[in-house]
Amino acid sequence: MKDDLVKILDGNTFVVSDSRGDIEASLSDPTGLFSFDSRFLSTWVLTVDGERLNPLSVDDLQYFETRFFLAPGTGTVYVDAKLSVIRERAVGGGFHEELTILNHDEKPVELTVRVDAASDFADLFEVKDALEKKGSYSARVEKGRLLLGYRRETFERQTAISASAPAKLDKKGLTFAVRIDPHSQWTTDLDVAIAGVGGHNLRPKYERGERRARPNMERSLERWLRDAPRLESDSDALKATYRRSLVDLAALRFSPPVMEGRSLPAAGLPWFMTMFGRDSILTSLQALPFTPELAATTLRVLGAWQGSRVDDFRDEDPGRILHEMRYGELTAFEERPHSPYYGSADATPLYVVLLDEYERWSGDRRLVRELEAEARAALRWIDEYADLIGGSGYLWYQRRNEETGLENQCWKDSWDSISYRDGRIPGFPRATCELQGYAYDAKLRGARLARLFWKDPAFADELERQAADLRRRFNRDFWVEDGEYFALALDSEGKQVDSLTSNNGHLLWSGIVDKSTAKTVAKHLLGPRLFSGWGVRTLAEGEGRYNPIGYHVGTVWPFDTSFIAWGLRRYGYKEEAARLAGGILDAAELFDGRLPEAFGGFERGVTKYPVEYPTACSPQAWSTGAPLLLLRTMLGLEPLGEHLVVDPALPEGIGLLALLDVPGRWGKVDAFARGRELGAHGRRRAVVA
Amino acid sequence: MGDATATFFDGLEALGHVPALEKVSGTLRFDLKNGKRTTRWLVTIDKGDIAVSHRNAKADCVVRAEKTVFERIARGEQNAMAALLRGAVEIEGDEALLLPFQRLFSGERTGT
Repeated sequence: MKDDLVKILDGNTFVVSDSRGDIEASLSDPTGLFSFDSRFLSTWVLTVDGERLNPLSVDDLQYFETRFFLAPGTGTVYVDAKLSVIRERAVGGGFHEELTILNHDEKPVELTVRVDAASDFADLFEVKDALEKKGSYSARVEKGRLLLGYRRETFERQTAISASAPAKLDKKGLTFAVRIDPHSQWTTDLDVAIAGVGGHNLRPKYERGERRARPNMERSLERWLRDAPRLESDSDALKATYRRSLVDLAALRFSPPVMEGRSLPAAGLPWFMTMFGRDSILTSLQALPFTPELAATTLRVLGAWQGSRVDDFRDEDPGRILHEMRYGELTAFEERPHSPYYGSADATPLYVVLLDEYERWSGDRRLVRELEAEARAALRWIDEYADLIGGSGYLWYQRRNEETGLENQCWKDSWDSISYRDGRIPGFPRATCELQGYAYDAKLRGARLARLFWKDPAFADELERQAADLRRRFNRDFWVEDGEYFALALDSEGKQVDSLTSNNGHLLWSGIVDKSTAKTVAKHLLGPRLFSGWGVRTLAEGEGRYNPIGYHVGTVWPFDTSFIAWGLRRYGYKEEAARLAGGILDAAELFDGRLPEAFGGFERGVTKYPVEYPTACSPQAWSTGAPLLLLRTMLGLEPLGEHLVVDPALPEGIGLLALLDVPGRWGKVDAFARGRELGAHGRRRAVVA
Repeated sequence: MGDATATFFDGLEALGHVPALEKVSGTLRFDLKNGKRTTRWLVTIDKGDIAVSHRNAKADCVVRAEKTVFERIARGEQNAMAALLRGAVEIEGDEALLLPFQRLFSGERTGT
């Protein structure tokens, strides 16, 4: 994706344009107005007297609105600086644009202002894969509006464009004959409204008396920021990263159609603004000490969509938590299985983990009781549907949808992410190690919920018995003797997929690792093969498929490292956890507070700068959540009964850290930490690990 | 091929109580078009207790579809969400009611 693209969004409605505010998309080009995974505008080009405009500057006002300052003329020398043009755009059920032209001259001007508009109504999947359309298009002018339509059988999508100033409408856009007096201005509102998903909305959303489109969110950004805990630190970089994370998390909120304004974290902006089981759960976990209501909505929505039948096309089973939901044409015609698609092996155990962790923070026992059936069904899925090699007692995955389903149903989901030391790739099914950790954790946490809230001590005993058995077998079957770490997976013959990976850190987080070997595992995670100095590599240096810029085979994923830091804390390695936090937060500073999804696994001392992995999505939800989880691990925040325990360990360079008004069952409490040294003038020293 | 729609609703009525709907209360009306005729099914759910009738009453959620489409959904051959996205099924009112209800189309009626 080009760097100078401007993105604004409201939930899953977003506009991607160039720095002039123009949209000129081809089928494979990711610009336009999108909503519910369909493109509603692929052309939106402003000209004045037939000339395109030049961008002077762009103001990102909020994540849902922006302002473009433009002038006519070409190149860097403005041939006519007597006019300037302002486009102010806000998303909210389509978008609203206020177009203003200012005449700075002493003479009046007469101008022809033109907005070209068109839509290809592409499905997001079509944009990504450049597929052809199967329906028919229409364009007509009716009652002062230009109506662009697309129809395939009963599937209809429509874009309606109108203006407040007098305009001549044709099938390809709007023309304004404009006269502006000396030192005066001319303004028109342009409304782009969309319809189709459930027949909703043919106009942007306004409140009474408002002229601006209103975003969907229940809380303004201002309130969102005000309600979050306040951070104080001698590190300005940390403060900036924290603020960036909160703002991005606000933008990543997604309100699914049935939730009436309540929101959960979507996976990434803009292409992944939808429910993802894994991403929504992990981000909710990261954000628990800051915005616990995201977890509550995630649990409710994923519970409402929990699988209920065996459906091979969707890889659905009873009790399974969804992987991804989509609303576009290909999903509607079942050319893609995302209605929703269930091919995720980790979201189901993680669902139970989140429910328990949420209760430990919030004390919201009502939700735990409300979701008892869902949690039980999730626990049952682990044993009844995910043990694909009958009686093995492990959680496996293998897609049943061979055509459009996902091969790797764990977080490392690219084709070559699971490999032996020598680079070979195992067959299916696969039992990756972290899945067993999640299952173990889910059983123990499920047992706590059964005992305390579901009044079922027998079930609790049974779950604990199963967990103890799983732990015993796991520590035997997955332990790689000659490397002293846990294998990445078991293959279908029960043999170890023996490469060294960051997954070991997730095992610490789950608590499945025997105390006696935890120290060795921690050493690996901070050792030269896995720790780059910035974070933990997905695959260790020296393994057959290691590549410092390979998606899941050598890059560092900030979210991954944040959970590893949590795992280290769980086993008491707080200095080690602090080192990882320090590395990731230093990287965050170099990315202006916004961590990418992944960056290169190069040794920190070699590149001095984390090399960003080029992906289309930014911000990414769980990268946004990483600094939040690292604040938790640095402060050592842990609910204990009705209290919040604080047990800090700060990385070098942070002298002072305070998180004020941390919400939870205790009301609101403050957490303080002091580091070993204070950097000069509150600046962090660069520390090479 | 019998009338899957009648079988489906009669089956619901016969059950009387569906544990999977114990968190649900509200009314759903299904307006199923067959040529010029529209058959209505009104389903009242009260914390899992179910009553079915043909009354043409106001409902919290109204579902409109061709009968042929609904037949396929009721038999579990057509995914309800995909049909909704395609516009083959239209809903009006409280969409949240349809979500737990669509689970019943798989034939899984005993709940958890």
